[in-house]
This record gives sequence, structure tokens and C-alpha cells, in this order.
Amino acid sequence: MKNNAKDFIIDQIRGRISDFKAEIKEQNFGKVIEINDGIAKVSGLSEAMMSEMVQFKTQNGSVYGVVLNLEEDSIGVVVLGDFSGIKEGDEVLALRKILEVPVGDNIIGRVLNPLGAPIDGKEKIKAEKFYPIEKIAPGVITRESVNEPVQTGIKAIDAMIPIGRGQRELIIGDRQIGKTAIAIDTIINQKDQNMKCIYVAIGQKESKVASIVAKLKSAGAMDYTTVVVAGASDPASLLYIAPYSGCAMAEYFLDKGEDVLIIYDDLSKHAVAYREISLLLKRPPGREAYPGDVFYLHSRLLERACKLNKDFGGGSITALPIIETQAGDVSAYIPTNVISITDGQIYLEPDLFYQGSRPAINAGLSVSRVGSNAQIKAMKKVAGKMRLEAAQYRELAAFAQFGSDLDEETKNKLERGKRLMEILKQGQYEPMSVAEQVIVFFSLISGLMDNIPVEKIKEFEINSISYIRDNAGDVLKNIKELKILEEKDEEKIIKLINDYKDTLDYLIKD
Amino acid sequence: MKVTAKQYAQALFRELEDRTPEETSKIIFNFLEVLKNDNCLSQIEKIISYFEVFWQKEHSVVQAEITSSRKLEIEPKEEIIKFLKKISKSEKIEVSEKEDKNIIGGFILKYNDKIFDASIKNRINLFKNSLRQ
Repeated sequence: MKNNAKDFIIDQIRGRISDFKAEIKEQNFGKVIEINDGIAKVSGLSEAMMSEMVQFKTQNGSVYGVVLNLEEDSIGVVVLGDFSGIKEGDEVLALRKILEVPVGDNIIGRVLNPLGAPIDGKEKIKAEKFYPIEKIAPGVITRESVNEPVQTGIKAIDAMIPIGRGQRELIIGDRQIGKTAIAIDTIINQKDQNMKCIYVAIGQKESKVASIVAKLKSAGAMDYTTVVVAGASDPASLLYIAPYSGCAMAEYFLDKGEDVLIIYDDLSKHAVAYREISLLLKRPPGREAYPGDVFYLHSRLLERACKLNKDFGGGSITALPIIETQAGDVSAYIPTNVISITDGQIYLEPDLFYQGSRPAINAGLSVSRVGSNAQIKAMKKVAGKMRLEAAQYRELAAFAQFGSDLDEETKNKLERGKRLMEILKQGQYEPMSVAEQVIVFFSLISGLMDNIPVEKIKEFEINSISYIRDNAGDVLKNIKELKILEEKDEEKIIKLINDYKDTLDYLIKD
Repeated sequence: MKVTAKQYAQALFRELEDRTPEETSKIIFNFLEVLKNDNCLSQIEKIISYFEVFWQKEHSVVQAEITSSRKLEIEPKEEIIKFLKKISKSEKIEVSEKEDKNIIGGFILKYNDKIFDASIKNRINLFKNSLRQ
């Protein structure tokens, strides 16, 4: 048996040796005229294509580059990787293929750089296929409207700003406010939800990426997640291609008819990297020194997020781009661009963050333009009323600061609003399942929480849910599987929660 | 208006078409005067290199460089030039030779901005990559 296996291997190698044909092809070559800051000007290469890969032959091995400028008698190339070894007069070979990355099922659970090379210290990716990093987005005929939800596990988002599979939802806010936390929580909550995740870190600190990977690993999320990293110390060219190569990897799963969630963290650094490249290529600067095609830069990327119809496999790519604003200024150039491209935004506000309501989602300024069609029926039933309560509370709270004597109805609204705000607070890495969310929201809007003190809401929420889980698991199962909240279940919930309340001693008595 | 080196070269090239040797030297003298007046004498090297490109294009001269591990015999050299004439579809070929021990054997042919790597070193590399897969 062992001998046979040996013979088999030897036969295979012999076959490959005899089949080997050294194909000598005519190749296009050029010479480096000048090189600075990762941009090379190359003469010759008369047959170079836009975004073609080229190979720089240097004394210590070869380095790859991408053609970004075609000029009259030279071309502009951005070097992908270390450009310090390239000298004037070095030879450059055209490879006659558009830049592509390895894709396949074995990229799952790995940490890769934008060229598909591993940076987690494990073995090289054995690619099933190569996908070009730039691809025209799916057309009208192949698409259908968003109709399935992405469960983020974050109460404020799932109830008020629902996201559907195939949607592009922007996460926007200042630095250090929990943008990445929302994205990571969403990835963690995709366990057993039939979703592949790709997290693209663009210009992030390596230490931050390392802690994110460790967190994903400990939550068991690396079983369905790929991390693509272009760190802060990588050259701008790698930062520039990172989201496109992440998207190419997502498209492999899309073509297999699977659902993919891709997070671009963050696109403002991506725009800055592209600005650097453009200025070095001597393209004219525009507003905030960004080049003229910075809108196209993001629109062509985010347009690749889609929901395909059954005839084309039925897969989807949901994109969650992240934008970092400066001092809450959403009217800067890049934020307005990306807001207009995406199907809605989740706006995180510093004031809310410091008041302690985290995630600091501003429900008034956040919208989701298509996601509400994708909510499950049970959630729709409770969320509509919740949104109304939240809006009324915001209005009354501003108004109530001036006067003290309010009528009974207004007081009740304010009291319930306070409890609502308390419910929407949620710790990091504590995603909640839809069924549980539905029960929490239902108990709030049906007034079951009105006589719980505001500071005890958190405790009550956790304990009542575990009480229901222990005593009526079938209610949770029903919501999860049938996706509707039946009236008999509603009655059951009311009864169970009242039962649980009887055991408490902190209720407010009239 | 700024005139580029390429434009100078093109103007000179057109001016020199179908002229006698005496006329040519007069034109070149005048051209240098023009450059002097335009303060563009520093560009002369660029202009010459562009002029060469125009000249080679017009007269379909192909400049080629053959790199081999040791000095080529007459016969294989003729073979290579014949092959070059076939792929470049040009009759006039200027060949320069270079020796490089590192390529082990075979030859590397470069012409215009094309490269034809038929060296043993390249083949070994290709073979190495195919075994690795």
C-alpha cells in the first residue's frame, strides 16, 4: 500500500516532466525611467493595458506593479510592495493579464494581504481560481430587490434601521465611537445564518487588526470569515486595491449562489490612499485635493454589492462600508459621496456615546432605504410601533425640558421612551437573536415594562428572556421558524412576563 | 508656446526628407541656430533620441540585441537574424551582441520593446514553477 502510493507520486512527477513544454513567448518589455514614492514611470511597453500587471526585475527578486496611467511615450505604474530595490533602467515585463487574486473555499478563516498572500503565518493559498479585482457590477437583468434580512444582532439596527441581504449600508461617525464594533458584532452574529463574511481592513493599525482577528477567533467567527489587511505601514497602492480584491473574493461565493457580508473598514482611508497615488501620477486635484474620479472610485466598488435573482444563482453581497468623519462633519466631500451611493446610513453620534447610550446610533439621522422590505413579519409588527414611540419621545424630550407640569399622557410617553432608550443600549460582543429581540420589543410596546424602574430595565430584560427561554422555548422557536408573532404566542408572553414580575420586589407601585 | 523635444525632432525629420547631402548639412546648421535662439540646446539629446525613433520607424530599421552565454558562431547568428526578420517583418536589422554567463545557455533576443527569452535559465525557472503547482 505504502509502496503503491510512492509509485503513484513518482509516476505523477514523471508525467509532469514529460508533459512539460517550455513555451517561449514573445513578451513586451520596458525600462524604468524614474521611480519615486512607489510610482514608476516606464518607457517601452507599447502594448500595456490599463490595470495590467507588470513585473519589475530587480537584483533581489521581482516585484509586481499595476498600470494606472497610459501616456504618450511612457506609462505610470504603481508598485505593489517594496519599491526600494527598483533602480532606474531596471527591466519591466508586461504579464498580459489584469490584476487578479486567488479565490476559493480555502481562503475562509485566513488573514490575507490584498494580493491574496497569507500574512497569518500559515501555508500559501492553493487557489482554485483567480478572479480579476476590477469587474463590472451585475446588470439590471440579473438582480432582484432586497428581500431577506441580515440579522446584525444589534437591537437598535435590527428594529429601526433594518439591513437586507444585498444592501449597502454605510456606518459613519467620528473616530473611537464604535463603528468597527458594530461591524464586528454583525460578523459574530452571522454564525449559523448561512453567511460568509469578509472583513477588509484598509489603513488600520496592525495591533487593532490583530485584536479583531483574536476576537473573531474566540467567538468562533473565523469559521466563515476571511480578513483582508492592508495595514497602515503598507504602501498606498495596496490600500487602494484592498477593497477591490476583497470584493473579488466575495464574488467567488456570490457565483456559487451564497450570501456574503463584506465590510470595508474604512473607505475614508481608501480615498486618502487613492489621493496620494493620483497626486503622484500628476492627475489634477479637485475638491479637498481628491482627484476628479473619486466618486467613481467608490461607486464602482459599492455597485458590486447586489442581490441576484434565482436564475443567476440567488446569491448576494451585502456591503457595510465605514466612513470616519472629522468632528462630526458629514458634509465633507467623501462622506457625502458615499452617503449618496449607499442605500442608507447608520450615523453614530459623539453626544450619545458620552451619555452612555452605546451603540451610539442616532435613530433620527440614520436611515435604511430598502431594508424594511426584508424584515421578518414578527419584527415588522413590533418595530413599526417602536419607531413611532422613539420618534415621539425624541420630540417630547426636547419640548419637556422647558415646562415642568405635563399632562398624564405626555408623562407616560416620556416614561416609556426612557425605557425604550434603555433597551436599545447593548454591550459590545453581545449580539441578540431576532426571536429574543421580538419578545423584548413586544413586552415594551405592550406596556409590560412600564412599572419597572428605568435603572432596573437591563436586569429585567436579561432575566425575563431567560425565564421565557426556560419555561416556553416553543415561543422562541415559533418566531424563529415561522417568522411571525402569533396571537396565542403574544398571550403566552404576556402571561409569562407577568408571572415573572410577581417574583420581583422592585416594581413601581401606584 | 513651449515646443517639446518630440515636436522639434518631428519638424527636423520632415524637413530632411528627400534632400541632398549639402542641403542636409545646411538644414541641420539652421536647426541648431533655431535651438540656440529658443534656448533649447539643452534638449538636444532628447531630440536626437526622438529623431532616431522617427528615422527607424520610417525606414523600418529594427535595432536588436542578442544576449548569449558565449560568443555566437556565424551560423546560429544568421539563424536568429532570419527568425527576427520573419517576426518583425522588417529587412534592415542592426544587431548588437552581448555576453552574459548567467543565462547558462541559449539566447535572449531583444528588439524594439519586445523580448524573446530562449535562455536555459528561463526554461529552468519555468520548469521549476510548473513542478511547484
